Amino acid sequence: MNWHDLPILRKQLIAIVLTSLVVLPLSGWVLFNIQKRSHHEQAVQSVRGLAQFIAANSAAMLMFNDPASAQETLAGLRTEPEIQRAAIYDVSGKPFAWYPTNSPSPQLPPRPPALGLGFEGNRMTLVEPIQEGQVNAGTLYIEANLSRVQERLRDYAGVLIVVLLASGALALILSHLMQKQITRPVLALAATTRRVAAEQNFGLRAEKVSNDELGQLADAFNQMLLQAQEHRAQLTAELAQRTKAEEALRRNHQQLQVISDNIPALISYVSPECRYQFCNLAYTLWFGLHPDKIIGRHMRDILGDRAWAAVAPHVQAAFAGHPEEFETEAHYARGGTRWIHAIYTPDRDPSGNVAGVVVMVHDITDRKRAERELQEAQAELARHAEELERTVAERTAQLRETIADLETFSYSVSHDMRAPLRSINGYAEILLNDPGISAQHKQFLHRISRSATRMDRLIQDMLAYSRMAKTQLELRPVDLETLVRDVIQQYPQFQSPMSKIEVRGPLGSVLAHEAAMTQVISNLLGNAVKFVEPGALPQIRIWSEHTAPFIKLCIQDNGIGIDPKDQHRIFGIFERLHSERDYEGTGIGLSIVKKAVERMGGTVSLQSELGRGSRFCVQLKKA
Amino acid sequence: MIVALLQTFAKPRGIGALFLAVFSAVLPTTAQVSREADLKAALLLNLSQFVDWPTNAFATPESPIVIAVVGRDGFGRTLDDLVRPVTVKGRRLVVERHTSLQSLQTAHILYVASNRESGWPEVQRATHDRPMLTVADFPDFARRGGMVELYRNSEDKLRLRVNLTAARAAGLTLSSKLLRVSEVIETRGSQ
Repeated sequence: MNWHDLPILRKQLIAIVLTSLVVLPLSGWVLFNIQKRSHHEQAVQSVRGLAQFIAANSAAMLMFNDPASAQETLAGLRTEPEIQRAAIYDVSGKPFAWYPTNSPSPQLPPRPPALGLGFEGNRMTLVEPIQEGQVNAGTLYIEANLSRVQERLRDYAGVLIVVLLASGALALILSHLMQKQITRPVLALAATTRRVAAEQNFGLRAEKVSNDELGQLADAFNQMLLQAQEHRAQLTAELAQRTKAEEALRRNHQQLQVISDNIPALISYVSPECRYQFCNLAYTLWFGLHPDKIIGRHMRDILGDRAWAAVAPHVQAAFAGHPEEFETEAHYARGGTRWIHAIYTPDRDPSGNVAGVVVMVHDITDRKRAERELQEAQAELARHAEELERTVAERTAQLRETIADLETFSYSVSHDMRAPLRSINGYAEILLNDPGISAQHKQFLHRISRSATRMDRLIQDMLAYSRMAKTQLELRPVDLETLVRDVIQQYPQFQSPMSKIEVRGPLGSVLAHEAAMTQVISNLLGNAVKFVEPGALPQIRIWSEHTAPFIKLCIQDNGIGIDPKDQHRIFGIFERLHSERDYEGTGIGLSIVKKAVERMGGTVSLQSELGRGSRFCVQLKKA
Repeated sequence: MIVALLQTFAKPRGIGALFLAVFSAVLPTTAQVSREADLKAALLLNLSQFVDWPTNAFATPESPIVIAVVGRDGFGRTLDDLVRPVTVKGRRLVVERHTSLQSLQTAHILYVASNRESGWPEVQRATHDRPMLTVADFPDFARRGGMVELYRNSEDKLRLRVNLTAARAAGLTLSSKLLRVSEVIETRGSQ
């Protein structure tokens, strides 16, 4: 089995066993060597110490020639089993004392060897000088057997091997136990990882057993799971959003298609390469082509060369960024020759570049035809109107002449009629003053006089009316208050006790013709005091209302009033609402008022109800 | 013989050669006066190695150890030649000879020759409170208040007899190494 395929548990075990196999013998060997050296040094040190002690103590024995004491001193080596032999030599190199004590051993060197330490197998020799102060008193020779050291080392090695084997076994057992503690979280983590991978379940979490690196690993793994979970949720949300957006886009496109299909104009969208990207139903119907045959094609292919030649400059201008609107007659390859009204709108992307052009085309062939027909009709009509106008002008001129003649005639008739009337009236007066006239005849004569007078007034009114109509009225500022008060002063029937007229000044000034204005006011006041219930006192209020640039002069009475249904009639000439018997008059007064006011550029208005009085207002330009 | 000795002594280490000479002379037990004197001179010198004097016994740390000889010794020039190259604990050794006590000023080792045996009590009186190692070879020297007595034992070997009481009284300290190879006696109220 490959090393990489082994489970981590097995790897760890192998690692520990190999480590133990290398480390334990190595440390054993090191320990043994240290021990060996230490034993050796200890032995040497011990012998050397012994030698130094003997040397120090035997100097005086040599110097004072006491071999017995020296012998005695060496005899003390009995207690040191390692020491085999020893000897003290005097300065001349002769043996002075020795050990073992019985006799100088034949194995002892006859003369002291060179100073220092020597080894030969298990045998160790030490040669020390014996000195007192600066005085050299002799030499000490000691020979020791180190075989006991070897024995002790052998024992030590045995113990060491046992200890190493035991600790190796213990290490295995302990590591096996510890391993479970270490590998359990790793295996758990691995299992969780496998589950996450297999189930794609990022909601799983690794169990955190400890706070060491494995714990951190579990934390980091859980953190990654959390992030993956969040990331997936985010992705799902984004996907849903995108799907929604795509759906919305599709709907938009569909709506656009539906809307554009229902617009009677031809709508298309072309790319800067002049290729169709979009077209509506009208467009496809116009050319009788399926949309698939249009989208992606060049405009020239669809329109035909002649039509393309007609619109190409406009297309170019639109792509240059200028909205184009034009009418032209286009000769299409399909659909014949048509008049079109086209709008090219550049479509700019967010950076301002023209990304395409929206083309909107109306078929105005029918309109053009109608327009042409209309133009023809209008020309005809104009011709007719001209003719008619000429006729009207001719007729109007004739009429004007006739009217002028008529007016002149009526004026002269009216004027000339007053002379016979004055004659009738004069002669009637003369006859009335004649005493021979019977009462009956007197009455007849009174009737003649009254009728003549009435006739005269009628003629005067007629003349006044004619004057109003004919005369050029020159307008000047007129002070209304002065004018009103002058009129009141002139007629007794406008004064107490016949009537009560209240003027609420100031009335202001208007642009008017003084004589005409006098006529207007006297006519209105005359009507006001005349049309009252029999026996009632006429009560009249006069005031003015300023509404720039006009002044409205109002005259309110307490008279019988005018029925609204009759109000439109009263300004007509010879219109009378009442019989001559009830209220006398010619029926021309209000006609004169209306004519005069209109000739002065103003208006007359009436507000009245039957039995509630009347209010006549004259509006003129303020002076 | 003497010339050979002197040549040997030219080197400090060569003092060991003296013993060679001494013991080679002693071992055959040939009693010759001159050899005996040489031996004693060597012992006298050796003694200086095993004695500690109080500090006030010396004027300065460099002051020499003075070996004074009273009476007629048989050392001849031997002693002078022996001490010349030797230093003990940084001090040189000087040999002085006196015929009377009057001239004796300072001494660290006082050798009383056997011809002055009768004068010993006088010497003792003059030196008893001073740090002076008294050495002599006449009998009962130690018992009579002397500090180191040179004698011959039953095997006719030259040995030392030490009066430790006297040495202590003089303020001297003797090395145990010296005491180990000596016969030690202690006297009481000998003064």
